[in-house]
Formats: sequence, structure tokens, C-alpha cells
Amino acid sequence: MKLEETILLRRLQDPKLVKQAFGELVTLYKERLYWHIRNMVKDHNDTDDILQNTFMKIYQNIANFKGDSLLFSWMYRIATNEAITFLNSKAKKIHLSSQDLQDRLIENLESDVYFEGDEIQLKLQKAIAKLPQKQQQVFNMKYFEELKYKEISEILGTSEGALKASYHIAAKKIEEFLKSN
Amino acid sequence: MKKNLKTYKNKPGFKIPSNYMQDFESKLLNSLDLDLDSTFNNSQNKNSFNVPEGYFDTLEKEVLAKVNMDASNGKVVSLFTRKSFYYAAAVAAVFITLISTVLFKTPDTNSINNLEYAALENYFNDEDSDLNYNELSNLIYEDGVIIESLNASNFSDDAILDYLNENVEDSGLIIE
Repeated sequence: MKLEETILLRRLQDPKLVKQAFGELVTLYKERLYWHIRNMVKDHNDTDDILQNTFMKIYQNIANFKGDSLLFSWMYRIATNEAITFLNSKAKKIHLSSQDLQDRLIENLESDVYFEGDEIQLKLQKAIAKLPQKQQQVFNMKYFEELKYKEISEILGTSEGALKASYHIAAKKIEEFLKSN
Repeated sequence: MKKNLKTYKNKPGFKIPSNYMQDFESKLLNSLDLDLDSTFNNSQNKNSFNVPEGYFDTLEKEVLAKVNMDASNGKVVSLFTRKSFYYAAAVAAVFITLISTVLFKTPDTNSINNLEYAALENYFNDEDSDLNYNELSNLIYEDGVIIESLNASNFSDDAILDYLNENVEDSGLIIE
């Protein structure tokens, strides 16, 4: 853990300093976590709800954080779990399989005022939606969020080698999708 | 890959940014550590998602307001954690047992006061008891329940005489 992160964590775990430190934490991570969630759930309003829940969980559990992993990867894991839970419950609620839900999310992008992508970018999203969930995560984190393999490994608990392979396969599939569509 | 890219470029009806596939291909060729920034130049918004103006400023305020609200409400402790649920269930079971055995037991079953005298007489007469008369008499005397519970002052002389006439075979006792 970096020294800065260690100091921030100590302040977060000090009842007298937690509020101020938490404000700094939100400032530091709000955009990164936002895009991490947005890449998974696509819709801005859903992302907003999940992000707020994520920060609430971080705040409620920060005192119990042991520091076994990096603070940032712990927060990313919470955000990832929140997003996955949200997607699963949404699929269940509207009686769709997770793949059908992915397709629905992409369809919704076409009329989403907060999506300004052109056809190619929409197609890229369609290609990503066809990937298995884990490959989607790896691709989004590497390609859009520009995380290092080491960081992704920390967050997902997968070896760097497996992540590289997963990203390679995902990129190949996307290439094939773009060629054939 | 270049061949593939050429084929894709020549497909009719697709609108592709001039450098899209080159950049995408460079990513695929390098496959593991390549960088596709140039495909979607906006570093954090390569996927073209937008956020409402000023969203991140209001987000921070909203989150901190929620946190303050949460802190003022105190920590929420679940009423029914598994452990406490078992404790509560055990206590409830004990109470239910007590209530069912003490409060809801049928009063007729164990109260001697509710037995008909005829039944008592039959019980003793039919050799259901090992006690002989004297023992029974002593028991009644020692306990004093029957005798003391009688308020003889309320009985008129006529009523007592009638009772003795009906129930005492030895008339000599009445004379005495």
C-alpha cells in the first residue's frame, strides 16, 4: 500500500477524521468508480444509484477494512459487486436472461440522451455486450478505464497471465464481431 | 490483420472514422499491452457515454449528505441476526411451554375442588386407594381443608339435622 493511501486509510478509520477524509476519498475516486460502473450498466441514472450505494458501503465498512488489499482495489470490488448485483436483479425483475438484458441495455443506448456515440461506437458496445461477463469486465477495465493488469488482478482476484489471455480473447472476439456485422 | 482490415474497410454502408481500424488493429497486434487512445481520443470517455453537466459536483454533495444522515441515525443493527434469532427462538419456546402448561392447562384435570363428591366417594369406595378409613380421616384432619373450609355458622339447625338424617345411619350419633 502506498504511503499516501496508508495515511488516508488511517484518517478514514479515525472517528474524528473520517468525515473529512471520506470527502477527500470521494473527490479522488468518484470519476474512476463512476466510469467503472457506467461501463458495466451503461445507463447514467442506474450508474448514479449504484455509485452512491457503493460510497455508502465504503463509508459503512471502512472501519473494518483490514488493509489486506489496496484501498482502491477494495473499493473497485465493492463497485463491481454492486453493479453485478444490480444487473442480476434487473434481469430477474423484467424476466430476461443476462444476455438478453445486455442486448436490451445496448438497444436503449440508441435513444439515450447521455450516449453520443456514433454507429461504430455503438457497434463496439454491441460487440462488448456479446462477451461473457468476465471478459467484458477485463476489456472495459483495460481498454476504457486504462487500468494496469496488476491493478485489474488486484480487483478481480485473477492472475495477470489469465487477464492478458482474457483480454486477448475479448479483443479477438470484438474484432470478429466488427468484421462480421 | 491488414488484409482483414482492408476487407472490412471496403464493406459498403459502414461509417468508420479514418483512423479507427488502424488504431484498433494496433491494439490487436500488440494484443496485450496496446493502447487504443487514438481510436476514441477522449481518455475517460472513449465509449461516448455522457454525464449531466455538473454531475460530479452534485454527486459529492449528495454522497456526503447521505453519509451525514447515516451517521446521525447511528449504526443500524439488524434485529434478527442469525445468532440472536436462535436466542430469541429458544426464549420464546420456553415461554410458550410455560404458558401452555401453566396458564392454558385445563383446570378440571387437577383441581380437587372441581371433583364431584360422588366421584370422590366412588374413588375411595372402589378400592382405588390404599388408604383405610382412619388414614383418610387423619389426612382430612391434618390438612384441615374440608373441615376448615366449612363455615358451619351459616347452617341452620334444621339443615344440619336434615343432612344428618340423610347421611348418618347410626341414629345414636344424632341423639348425642
